[in-house]
Amino acid sequence: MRQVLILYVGSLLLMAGLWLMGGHGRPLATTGEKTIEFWTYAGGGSAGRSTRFWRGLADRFEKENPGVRILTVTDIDQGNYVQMLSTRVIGGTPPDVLIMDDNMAVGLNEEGLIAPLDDFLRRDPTYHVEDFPASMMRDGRVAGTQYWIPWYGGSSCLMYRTDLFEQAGVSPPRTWQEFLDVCRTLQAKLNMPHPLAFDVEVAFWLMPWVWQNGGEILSPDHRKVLIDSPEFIEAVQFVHDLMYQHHFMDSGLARGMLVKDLWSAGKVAMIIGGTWEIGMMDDNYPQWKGRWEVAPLPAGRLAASFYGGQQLMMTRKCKYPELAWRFMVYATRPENQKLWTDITGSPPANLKTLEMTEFRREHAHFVRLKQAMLTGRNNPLAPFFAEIWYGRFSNVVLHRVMSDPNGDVAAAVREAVSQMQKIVDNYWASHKHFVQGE
Amino acid sequence: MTGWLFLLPGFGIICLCVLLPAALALGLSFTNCSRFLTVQWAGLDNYRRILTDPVALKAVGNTLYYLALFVPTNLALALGIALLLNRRFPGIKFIRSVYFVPVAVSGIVAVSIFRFLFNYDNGPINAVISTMGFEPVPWLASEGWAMIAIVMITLWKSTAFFSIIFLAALQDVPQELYEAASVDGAGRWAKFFHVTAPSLLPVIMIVFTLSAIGAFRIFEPMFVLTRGGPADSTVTVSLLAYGAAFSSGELGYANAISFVLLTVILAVTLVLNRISRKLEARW
Repeated sequence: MRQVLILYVGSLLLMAGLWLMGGHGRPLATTGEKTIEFWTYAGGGSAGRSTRFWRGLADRFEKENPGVRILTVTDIDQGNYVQMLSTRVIGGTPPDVLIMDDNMAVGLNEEGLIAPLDDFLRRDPTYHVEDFPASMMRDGRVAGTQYWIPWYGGSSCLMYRTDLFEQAGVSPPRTWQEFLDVCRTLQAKLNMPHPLAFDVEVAFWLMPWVWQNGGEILSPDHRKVLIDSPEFIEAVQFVHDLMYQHHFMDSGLARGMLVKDLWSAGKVAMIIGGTWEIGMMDDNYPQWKGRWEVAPLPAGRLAASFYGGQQLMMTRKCKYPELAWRFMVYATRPENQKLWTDITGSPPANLKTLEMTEFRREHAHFVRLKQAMLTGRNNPLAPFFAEIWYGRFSNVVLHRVMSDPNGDVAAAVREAVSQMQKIVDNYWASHKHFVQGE
Repeated sequence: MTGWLFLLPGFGIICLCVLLPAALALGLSFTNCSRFLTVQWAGLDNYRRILTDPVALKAVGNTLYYLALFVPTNLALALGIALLLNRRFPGIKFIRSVYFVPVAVSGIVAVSIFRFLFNYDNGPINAVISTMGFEPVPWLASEGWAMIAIVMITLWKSTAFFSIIFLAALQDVPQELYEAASVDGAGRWAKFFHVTAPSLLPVIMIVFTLSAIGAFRIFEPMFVLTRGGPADSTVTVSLLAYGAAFSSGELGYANAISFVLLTVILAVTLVLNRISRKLEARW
């Protein structure tokens, strides 16, 4: 019996010791200090730079606001961000201010975790809604209530080699027909078998082509899948034909990082990328410094481009909402947005930043694509969008037809529609009406 | 009484860390539960969805296909290699040690190595195939070949482990039985079917059961290499559950899939145990 008592007491002491050594949620603040916990995720090659920017911004804000501490958490991997966030939310200690990709933020908002900002927008004369792209502001609204403000927005664009274009005597194409003509001329004049590359199996890059041809993915109320329209199928067929009919792209190499390898090796004259890559282009491909440019995507029946990005928001459990709002506004000031671009190479969301003389001189690429900021659009912001578009559609259509010269686009799309619609119907059977962007 | 009291802390930990989460997961499987634990009662909807969702049905089909390819091949290869290793000649100990290396290599590392080996343009496997005069195979990019490539990876990884189990069992087979069979004029195959196989029967059933359980739960190679593609040809039940939980945030549905899988594995294990007992009694 004595051994049993020793066992029990020892176990209790061990558990107590482990509990005391463990974390207790947020770090304790100094007495009287107000702490705002800020989260963002580390994305891709600019991870370290993002951390440098946010720590610098937090330090300056703290200097200007004595008694305030900004706790920055900036090194969470993007893939684990939502999971770590959900752990903190379930534990009752969510961060106060956070940045999220608009697609990820929709799910968060649906759970009622994000604080509405209308009151702040109404009372604060220093934040000007009109300084930010209307589409991004609209993306942050549900049923007329604003839940987040734009942090940074990127658009899809054409990246091309200026020296090769000059050699072939062509200009950046403005329409689909010009696009085909330019590709043909590059093939002939430069003896370049495949002058174009982009990842045809990632559904993201297909969206602008679809929109430009007048196609849509979902109905405005997010209840009906519309990919079986003639315009949509025609757009997918157009991309398929770029490889297998016109041979402008190498079907085996139009995949993932191979696209960047082709650009690096100088084997293509054009790629389709995003403005979020502009800042890293000279670092990643120094051999092409000064020999590349960006242009808007060529227009089909319509001129359309993707435009979306990261949003800044406050959680409902924020202890100091006025302070959190001041930090959010501070971050989005034109001079701080310029610093964001200087350090990370990512585009700003504040349109006033693009009017700054230094910005126009140092970041001319973004200024050239300002129109995309004003007229671009985001994908449908529905919680199930990633599952239907990057899941079902990619698996059933893109992975199948884009690697098959005889791939039947229409048949694959028809098969995908029913699977996608099932997911949409399942969602609406158990969720109330909630449409981001209304 | 003292004995039970000694058992209690351990049992308490098992309850806290295993049984309680399992019970909660079972409860969640009857709800629509988001990743932020917003719960809404759903009854049997999640279980009904498994029976009607084409992706779930495809996952079941793929898992059974993987099982049909992997389990018998694993069994045959492991036993064959064990028979080969069950000899005495100089260097046999070294060969056995080297052969065990795949077991020591972590799953993720093994899969990453094979990603390079199966590379369509630069991979050594296609290089060998090309020099033999055949067309290179789009191993991981083809609906037909992707699952076969994954079976090859898992065979490389697990056959060594099971062959060691068989090797240990072979060394327990009494030599007198083989001598008696030789005296009766039995050839190599007759010795295998009438001496080796019956002696190894319990181990064969254990290896078969463990292989089948592993096959039902297969996840790593699909997650790292193909993410269920191309065109859902490698999506398995475990990968489906993972996707439902961590990509779609549908914890209720993910738990339902997991419990269906658990039930199937338990049922298969019980059936195999019964078969094993009957065969042992007969032989």
